Amino acid sequence: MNAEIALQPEVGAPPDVVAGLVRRVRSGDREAFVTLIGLYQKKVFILAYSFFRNKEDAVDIVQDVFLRVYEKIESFQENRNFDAWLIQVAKNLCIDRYRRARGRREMESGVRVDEIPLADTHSPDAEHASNLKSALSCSIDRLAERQKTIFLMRHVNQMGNEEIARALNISTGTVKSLHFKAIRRLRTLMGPHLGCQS
Amino acid sequence: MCPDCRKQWDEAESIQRGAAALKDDIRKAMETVDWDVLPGRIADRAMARPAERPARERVRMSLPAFGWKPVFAGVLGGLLVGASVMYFALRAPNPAGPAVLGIHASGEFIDRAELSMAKRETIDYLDKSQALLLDFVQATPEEAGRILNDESSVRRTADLLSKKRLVDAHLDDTTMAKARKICDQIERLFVELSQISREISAEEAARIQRYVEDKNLLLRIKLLRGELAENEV
Repeated sequence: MNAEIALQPEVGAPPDVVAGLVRRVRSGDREAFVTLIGLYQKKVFILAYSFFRNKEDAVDIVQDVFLRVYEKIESFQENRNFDAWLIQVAKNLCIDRYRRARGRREMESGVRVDEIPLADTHSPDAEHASNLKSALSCSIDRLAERQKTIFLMRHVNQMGNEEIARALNISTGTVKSLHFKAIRRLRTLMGPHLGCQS
Repeated sequence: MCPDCRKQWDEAESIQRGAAALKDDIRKAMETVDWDVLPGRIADRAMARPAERPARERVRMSLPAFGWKPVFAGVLGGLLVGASVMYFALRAPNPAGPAVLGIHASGEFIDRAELSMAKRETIDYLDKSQALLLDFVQATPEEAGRILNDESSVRRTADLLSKKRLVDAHLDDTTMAKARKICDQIERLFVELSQISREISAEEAARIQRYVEDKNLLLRIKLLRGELAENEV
């Protein structure tokens, strides 16, 4: 394991190499599948971790994503962008899991996530909650799903607008618009915290 | 930079700093994952699943429609519902229909009703024939020729020939045998009239008038009509 892990995922394999790996995976080549996972596992992990901020959940998502990829590899069209397809699968699984978790939380507490206060100033952890990172985490959870996904892909996964557009199957203009809305909403949600910082 | 813009800039920077802080967390979490082992573990799990896959494929092969996309399933469902609706809407009437509706008619009643209808049809035919023959017989031979050449007379003659074909179906009944004889005679006359040249001469018209009188056609029509009307149900 690397002592210093760069956040930039290990992606950079030329498309024809990836296409070759996909073909070999289709024919049941284990080594090809291991190589393919090795190329993309960190990218998926980063997306999943930014959604759940929990290592176990993120690793589970990585496994689920590649199991799904293996299951659906026959239906993958070779003229498609594998990166975009993979991120789409990962995003869908993240959102499914997030919805289930949110439903559970709401059921257990009887309160909708949107109604949960950003920071409880009366609790002993108030100081911690007012920390910028925690405030951002809570605020991200309160974004609409697509805004959240785009914000995380852009700022945590370091994906460009065009790459995000391909992965979400929307136009670049929509990506920009949703990103702008996400920032505006975060500014509103984090108002008090941002005031402390400035 | 104006104060508002400055504020927005600071807020955006704070958000960026927050995102950077999230990246620190991710970096730390990534350091604790064994990236060399994970791919092999996932690949083994994926490869261990083929036992499940063929079963799923079998189901898909046996039920192709349910393995397709929802739109095809929707189309299939629509076809099934449509076919069912068409079946119920267009299927042949139930042979036991009248019984189900509580309407019952005996064979005798139906026979009498049919005979009554046949008599009415025949009476109507006789009335119209009589009217046309009267117009022809009561006219002078010169006028008779003109009447026969008249457009309305030609049309009336053609209508009566058509009607005779409808009446024929009822005249086979034994009780209508007498009516058949007269109706056939009238028909032969009308066939002859329809075939005569438009430039019918007075002599020709007089000959036909005599034929009607000799055969007592009008009288026989009158008697037969009365008889049929009297016996009508």
